[in-house]
Amino acid sequence: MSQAVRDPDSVASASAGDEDRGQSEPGALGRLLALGRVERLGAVYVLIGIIILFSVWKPDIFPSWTTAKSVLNQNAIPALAALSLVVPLCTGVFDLSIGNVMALVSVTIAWLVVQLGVPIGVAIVIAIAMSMAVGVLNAVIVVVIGIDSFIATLGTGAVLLAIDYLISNDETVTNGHLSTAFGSIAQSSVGGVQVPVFAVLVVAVLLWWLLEHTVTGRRLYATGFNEEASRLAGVRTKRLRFLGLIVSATVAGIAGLLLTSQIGSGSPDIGPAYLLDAFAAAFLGATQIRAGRFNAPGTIIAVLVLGTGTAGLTIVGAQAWALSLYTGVVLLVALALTRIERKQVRAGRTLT
Amino acid sequence: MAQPQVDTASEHLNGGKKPALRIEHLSKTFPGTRALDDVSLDAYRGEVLALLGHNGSGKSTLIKVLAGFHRPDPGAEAWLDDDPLRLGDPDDAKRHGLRFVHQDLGLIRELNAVDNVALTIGYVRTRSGRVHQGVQVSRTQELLAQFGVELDVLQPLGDASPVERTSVAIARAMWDWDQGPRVLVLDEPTAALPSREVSRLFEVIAKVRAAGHVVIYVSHRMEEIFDIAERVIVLRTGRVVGRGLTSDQTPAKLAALIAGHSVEDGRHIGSAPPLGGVALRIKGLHGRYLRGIDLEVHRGEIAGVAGLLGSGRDELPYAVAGAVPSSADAPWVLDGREVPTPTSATAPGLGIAFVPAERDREGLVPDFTVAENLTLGALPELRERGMFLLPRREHNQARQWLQDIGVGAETADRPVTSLSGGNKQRVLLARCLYTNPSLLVLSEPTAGVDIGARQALYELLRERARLGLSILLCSSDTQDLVEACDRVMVLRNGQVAETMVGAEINAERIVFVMESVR
Repeated sequence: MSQAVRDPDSVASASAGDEDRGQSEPGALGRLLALGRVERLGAVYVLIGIIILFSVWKPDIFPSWTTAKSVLNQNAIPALAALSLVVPLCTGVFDLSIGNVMALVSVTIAWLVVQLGVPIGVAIVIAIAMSMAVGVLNAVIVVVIGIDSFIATLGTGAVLLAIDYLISNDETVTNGHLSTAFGSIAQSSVGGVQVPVFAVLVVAVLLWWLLEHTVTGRRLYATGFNEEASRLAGVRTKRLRFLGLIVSATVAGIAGLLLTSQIGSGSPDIGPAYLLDAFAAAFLGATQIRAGRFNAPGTIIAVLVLGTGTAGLTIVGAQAWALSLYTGVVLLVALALTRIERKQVRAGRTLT
Repeated sequence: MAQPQVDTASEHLNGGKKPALRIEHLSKTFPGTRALDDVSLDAYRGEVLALLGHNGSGKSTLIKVLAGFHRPDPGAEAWLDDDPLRLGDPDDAKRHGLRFVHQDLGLIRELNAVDNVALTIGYVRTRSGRVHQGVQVSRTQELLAQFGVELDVLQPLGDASPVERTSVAIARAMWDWDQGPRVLVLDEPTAALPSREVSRLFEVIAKVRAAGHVVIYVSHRMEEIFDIAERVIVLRTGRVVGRGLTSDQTPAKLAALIAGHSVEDGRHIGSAPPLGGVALRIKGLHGRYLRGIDLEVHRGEIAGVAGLLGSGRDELPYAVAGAVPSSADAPWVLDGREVPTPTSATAPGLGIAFVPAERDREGLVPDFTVAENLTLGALPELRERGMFLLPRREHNQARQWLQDIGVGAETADRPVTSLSGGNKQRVLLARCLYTNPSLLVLSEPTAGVDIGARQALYELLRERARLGLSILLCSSDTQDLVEACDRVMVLRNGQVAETMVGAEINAERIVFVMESVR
């Protein structure tokens, strides 16, 4: 019906446009082809390139189900950390406290289970509730009081770190019960793929659904792109930013929980290391699928590109500096390419 | 469209003096509009030339060409004391001593006068490379003293009064005024000044004039022109429509020149009488500039609001749309019901839709496509079954709307930044209209919209009003008020100075009332 409605005469005032769009509505195949364009999925081609490179380099070790499983299992926690950032970043808010939230959950669970002998289920509930409370605290400071999110969450992160040390006495806490009973949560697997990988899938699908298919998702993006215009259009931008910070703390809490289970002990040092890679993946992810928008599938692809490359480099015996260099270069190149491309798009299309 | 060129004084009535700054055949074409059309201008030493004209008259384009920000169309010529001036070259403008003080002054409020001045003229350094604070302070004080400005040069300029800031900006622009002739261009320096401070600013300007420099003074305020300017030049739609000695003019004559007579042509007389009762009634609306305005908008009426910057004309639409806080003497009455004062979040639910003044900053989401910008206000209606947003359905709706408003369905997936000003405005209007509001509030609806697209916008608004939509249209462009509105309220000092209805609406009267001091 209105599908085919395209009357070339009535659009005289605006159609001084340009380029391709000859066919008005692409069919299913067209949409599939459009999805495969380099600008949207550049990182997937990079990923394929990496896999081929290392498969040729180490044909006996790299191209195996074992490698694939270990890449997936090892990158589940980094993926959760990166996904936790997507919602607040959409609204233009940074959350630098996620690493410390992960550590907080870790030491809290260890303390409850090991020192106080609290049942595991109760400990989990308390830990997740704590992470949500941190989210509310962040939101009050950033949204209600109005301190810039970058510096505010840096501050709460430092406070959380202090609490982490207080609870744990700066020691890694574990016992048999924690490492076996609690450890079995993340260490149980289906065909070698561990539970955290499935948690990543669930979170990613939920985020994708939220951002792509709900009104709230569209408003989250609008808030991040132009807060004032969104506010004047009736969007409750403060509420969305509040929500975003709660989401990031909660997902980080889940990541901390699974990480604690994976290593079977509680430690104040495990969280913060994930922060920078999480931001790298979220920003690299924003150059994929929905160019310019933070999104869940793009973030997953980004984690895989970074994780697979790192795994390959490790297999060929690269030093630590090479791994860090790889992450940095991939991130910078992707961001630079996106920037250049957008400039060209703007320059080319600023007609009419 | 034939316009009589109203030259109120011949160019040779200048007492045999030779102009210092001469511009001839200056035209500037932007895609779709001719901002300046064969403009010529003469300015004399030791005189203030007032440059008058409304929004879209080409005033600001002229200043930007002088400053070298815009390159003029070929054929334009300019001289400063017979020395050719390359228009559109910022370095050449600087070399010739052209100095500009823009409306926002370009000062950093967190810094004091010493640092603000030094940012332009440079710091005095000691041999070791340190800033020589003592010399710097006394140099700034001396400079300001030359202009008769006394203020604590070490306090942040944010703490200084508006007129002191303006004076510092002028002193900074003219810091080397004793080293050669200068042309000082002041762009609406009094727009943000309380009227009692204007005379202090005039003392500073008088000093510049007395030193034999050229002053070009852009203003909206009529009375000031007669106080400060020797000569006046009036622009309208990019053309010079009047020039001469100020002493030959009267406020009414200038208002007529600024407003122009042609606007009468497009007037829609016999505007429909208000269809129904009162759609919105606010008693005693107070805000930052608003001082107890009683506002009524009838169903099916286009009510216009005129006024200068700071009169409350800018604030009123934002207050009515709930975008800025305001207070009223009694609860608002909307469609016969008493309602709490809206916020921008509750306004859509109350049936109030808003098109803000700054389209790009306050209206559009630049990283969204045209379709996404269009549906931003109507998302709840597009939602089906709980929270789901169906992309296909949204897309089809957006294409249909774009078709309806004449922007073209094929633009749906393009970046909104690719649209022209007029089409952007249509997208914003459509965003509002498709939520079926009962009251539409518009601020500066035609800013940056070219002539042809304007008429289409007026037509769209009138049609909606006929269907029962109440519209509050606030504009600094008298053409909007004369051509689109059924009733016009002219604001002055936060209050309604005069209301005109139907055939009484007249551009000259609007300009005259809003620019009077009383």
